[in-house]
Amino acid sequence: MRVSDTMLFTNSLQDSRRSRAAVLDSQQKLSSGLRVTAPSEDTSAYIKAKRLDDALKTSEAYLENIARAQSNLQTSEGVLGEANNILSRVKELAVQMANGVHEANGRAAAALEVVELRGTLIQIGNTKIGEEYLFAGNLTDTVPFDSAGVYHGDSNQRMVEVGSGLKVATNISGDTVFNAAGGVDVFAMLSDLETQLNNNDPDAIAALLDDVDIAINQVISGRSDLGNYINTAQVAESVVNRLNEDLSTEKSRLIDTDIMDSSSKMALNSQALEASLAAISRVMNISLINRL
Amino acid sequence: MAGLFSILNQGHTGLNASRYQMNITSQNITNVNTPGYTRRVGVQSPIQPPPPGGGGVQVTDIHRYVNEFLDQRLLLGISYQSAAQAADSPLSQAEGALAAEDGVGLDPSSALAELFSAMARLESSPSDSALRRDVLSAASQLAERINAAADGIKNARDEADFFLRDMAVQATEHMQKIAALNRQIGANPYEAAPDLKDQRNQHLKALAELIDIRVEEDSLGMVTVIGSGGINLVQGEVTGTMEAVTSLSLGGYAEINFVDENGIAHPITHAIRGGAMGSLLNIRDTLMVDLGNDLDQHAFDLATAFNAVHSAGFGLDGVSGRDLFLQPAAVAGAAQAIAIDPSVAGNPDAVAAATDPLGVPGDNTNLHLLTALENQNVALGGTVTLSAAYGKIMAKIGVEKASNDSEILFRGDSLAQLESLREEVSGVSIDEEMISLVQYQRSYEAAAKVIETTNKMLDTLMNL
Repeated sequence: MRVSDTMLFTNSLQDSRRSRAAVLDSQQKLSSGLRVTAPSEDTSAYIKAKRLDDALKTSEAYLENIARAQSNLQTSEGVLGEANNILSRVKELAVQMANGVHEANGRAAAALEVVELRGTLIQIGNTKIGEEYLFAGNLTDTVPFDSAGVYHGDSNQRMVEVGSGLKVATNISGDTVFNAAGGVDVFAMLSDLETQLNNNDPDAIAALLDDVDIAINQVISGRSDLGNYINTAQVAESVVNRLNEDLSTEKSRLIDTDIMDSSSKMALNSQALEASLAAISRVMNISLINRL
Repeated sequence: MAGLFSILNQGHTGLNASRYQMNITSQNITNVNTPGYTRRVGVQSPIQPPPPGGGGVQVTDIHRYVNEFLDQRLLLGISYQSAAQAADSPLSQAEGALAAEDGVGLDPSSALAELFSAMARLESSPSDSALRRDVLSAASQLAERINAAADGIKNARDEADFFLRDMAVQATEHMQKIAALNRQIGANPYEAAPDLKDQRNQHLKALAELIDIRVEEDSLGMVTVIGSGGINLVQGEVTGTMEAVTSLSLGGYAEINFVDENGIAHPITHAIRGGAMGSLLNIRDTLMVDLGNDLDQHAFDLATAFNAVHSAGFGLDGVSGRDLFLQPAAVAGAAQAIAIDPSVAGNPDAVAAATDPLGVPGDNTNLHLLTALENQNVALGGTVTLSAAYGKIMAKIGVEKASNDSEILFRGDSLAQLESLREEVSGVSIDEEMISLVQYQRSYEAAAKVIETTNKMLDTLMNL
């Protein structure tokens, strides 16, 4: 083979250029931490990673939804706990006052307490988080219970997505707790109780005791529903978190730099570059010109 | 007597020949770095000794070391390599526009995911005006990203067109230089021909960078340059011009014509396959058109799918029938035209979260229907999801760019290989030339010695 001088120079140039490009490439991958930054670098990995990224974005929304749902549900559950206490106190009063030993003025005092408790209960029914009434069903901008205890919300439950195809309720409507179909209208019952207390009628008061129990059960079952929803939300949260981890790991596997791999490649490429530079300097020094 | 004088003459031709060879050798040495220079050597032949002639040596020709087959392949290699190089910039631009990485901005794919995510967030509090605004801004960002991607594709086409027009001018220059050099070589095939041929070779290479050509050399040393589609771009001294003419049917982009010496224009836009021009034409008229159509289809599908669900729902104000995106009239141009619908723009209450007007503000069931679009096959005639359809677009440009990247490497390597093969034949080796220098110095000294010796012999003869 004939070797011309231009060949010698261009080949050397090309070799060192290639080695340098390889060193730069592995250096970039190491410093950016990314193996793939554009579809052309690894089309299928890039597009899979994009899908995972989309799923991660949706997961973020799920996690926010779960947090909001939990806050709603826990507040609802908390205030229904209060309602439970109030109705227990009502039951205590009713049981006491159904007993003949009490005088009219004792019953009148009890009636005043019942009025006050009823007012607190209406306030509980009108609990707000931010701008939204918790117990108004979908009509979150409407005061659910007026002072007469009449319900103005609707009986819808709002569901939010907390996972792909997984929804959890974020509320229970006020009527299922305080005015259930086939159950007791709690506020009407309390008004009755007040009336009978003022009427000083122990028998009529005793007759209301069953309704008080039913009312307490309505609240308890509302709380237990809420408890179930909170559990569902918690389960959903751990599912989404685990999914997020899997998605991130998979995404990283697809497009992140393999540090060990890139470091060893970088070391290898640097050595190759040095070797080729050494070879070039050796070859460049050999010429007949130096000997003649 | 006559014999001795003829020896003197022979010595003289030896001196001449050695000097001539020295001349050629030094030409080789000084042009060691000249691009396209072809190593040459003087062809020596003996002058017949007496009788009949006076004897001695003469340089009868200058031989250029060329391998014409290799030179043809080199032109082809140059066309391939230049085609791959020319495609790089427009492809990078389109890739960046269609699939930008974080930091540069969201690409349409991420923007779509953001929209679904914003809608899912609104589910938990449909009356929250901040969350509603988030949905609107995600929607308008998605529209803007698609607009930007469409612009990116258009820019890539514009750039290709710009370069094409410039290249037509360059091609004309090279064709005319080649024709002019043909004329000079034809008129004077021996003396200056080696340098003129080297020059012409440089122009042929430059022309091959622009367009794929085939070259045939005739007996006078003149070349015929045959371009794509079998048109003779240069034939001997005759050539024409390459013209870029703005064409309405190409949407204002340039058509390429070859105007021959009689002023007749031959359209060659569709005949050009190779070189930078072939590659840019392919990008401008095929690949980018294809991507643009895909993007239009995506924008159209997306607007149609979202609008169908959104317009059936109710806003906070209880109003129904509003589109989320401005519904494109047709697929063509949808990507450039897509925007948030004026009836919802700047009006967060208009986001249709509810399916039941009586359920406002808490009803979020329409949001469920909207987020469900993420997993429904609503794109490409109901065959794939929106994000899968966009994934196909990203895959298309990704594969195209990746294959061009490897094409650049491969064509670059094979061109380097060819150049090195050519160098093996035509390149100058200083070592060789040094040896030649010594060789011709010796032969010069030896010829001088012949003259000196003959002179002494003449002296001897004179002193008899």
